Amino acid sequence: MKCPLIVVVLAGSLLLAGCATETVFRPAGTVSPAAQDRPFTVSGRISINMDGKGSVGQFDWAHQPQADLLSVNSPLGSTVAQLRRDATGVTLLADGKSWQAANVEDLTHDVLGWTLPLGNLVWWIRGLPAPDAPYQFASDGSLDQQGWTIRFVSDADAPGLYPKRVEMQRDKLTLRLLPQNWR
Amino acid sequence: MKKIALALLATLLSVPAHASAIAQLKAFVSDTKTLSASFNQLVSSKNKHEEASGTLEISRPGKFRWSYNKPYEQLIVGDGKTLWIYDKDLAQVTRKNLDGALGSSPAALLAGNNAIERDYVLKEAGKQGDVEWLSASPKKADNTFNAIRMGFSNKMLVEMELTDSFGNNTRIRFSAQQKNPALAASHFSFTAPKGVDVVSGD
Repeated sequence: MKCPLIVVVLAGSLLLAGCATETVFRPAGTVSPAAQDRPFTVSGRISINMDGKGSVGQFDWAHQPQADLLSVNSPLGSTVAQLRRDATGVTLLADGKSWQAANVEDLTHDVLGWTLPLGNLVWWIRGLPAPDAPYQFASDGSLDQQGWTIRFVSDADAPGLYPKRVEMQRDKLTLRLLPQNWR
Repeated sequence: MKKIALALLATLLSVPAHASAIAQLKAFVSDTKTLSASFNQLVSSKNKHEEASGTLEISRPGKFRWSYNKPYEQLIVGDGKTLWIYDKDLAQVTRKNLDGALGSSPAALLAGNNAIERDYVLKEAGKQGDVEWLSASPKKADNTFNAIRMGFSNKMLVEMELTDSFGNNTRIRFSAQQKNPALAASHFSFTAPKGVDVVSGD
């Protein structure tokens, strides 16, 4: 009689694990316009869906107020594309070539065909609205800012300091970020 | 005469355990129609040290299933024509033409009948313990990896090392290798689960 019981319990917990309840991430406090832009390093996964075209990959991102280094990697760990931002501008390295522009948003739009909102992502990845542009929270908890709709998701039973997943949508572009290792 | 020819043939075919890595690669490709194994992957670069593990299945020609179980679930299936990458947590499947996607997984490379010999210049790269190493450099400039090393022991692939131009080094150790197991055809086909975005990566 013991075995079936164990099986039932196991099946029950597996079921729960498979259906972990997700909820809207709520940041601990609101950002003041004078919010400090602090350095961080984070890695995780990213998916891009631009009107049915896109990819999934891993990312490594080292952010400082004056500089960013963002690599997008294959599952095997090889770097597919790398963005470098510093005081002189932004460089994108991919396919053995390099491109330069004044900011990440223009560069990714012109080269990749979709915009990576890196300046806002500095805040969104932490579940915060960017402090230097108007924003609004919808009744379902999603954030509207600069034409983007951003959904911050966390596990209902294990809310963390930052969102578990950030989903960003604008026009026909959907970006999903799954930050995993904050350092 | 016939006996001598047969003996000669037998000698040529039976690759001794201490054979060079290139001979072992050729024996590995011709002897293994299907393969299953576990793998451990270690990606390291200047500031990074990330481990992952999973399982691998190959069915020649050209079919493979490369599945990450830890630290997260990601499935890469090559069905002979199309490469499918499924990330469960991101709820997205990327579909790619397999021809252009060899660098996406060592499994794609290994599952081909002659892809390695056709697309790479092979060189012996010495011996470490029981493992004979070869280095494979792409004939056409490849933007994915600029160096691949493969280690063989007893005509079986035991290790791979891949290096890219950004300074990433990926080391994959294989274990529990099974030669020519019966593998269900369903392992080499992919149907996207409901509610998951399917995008084209071409």
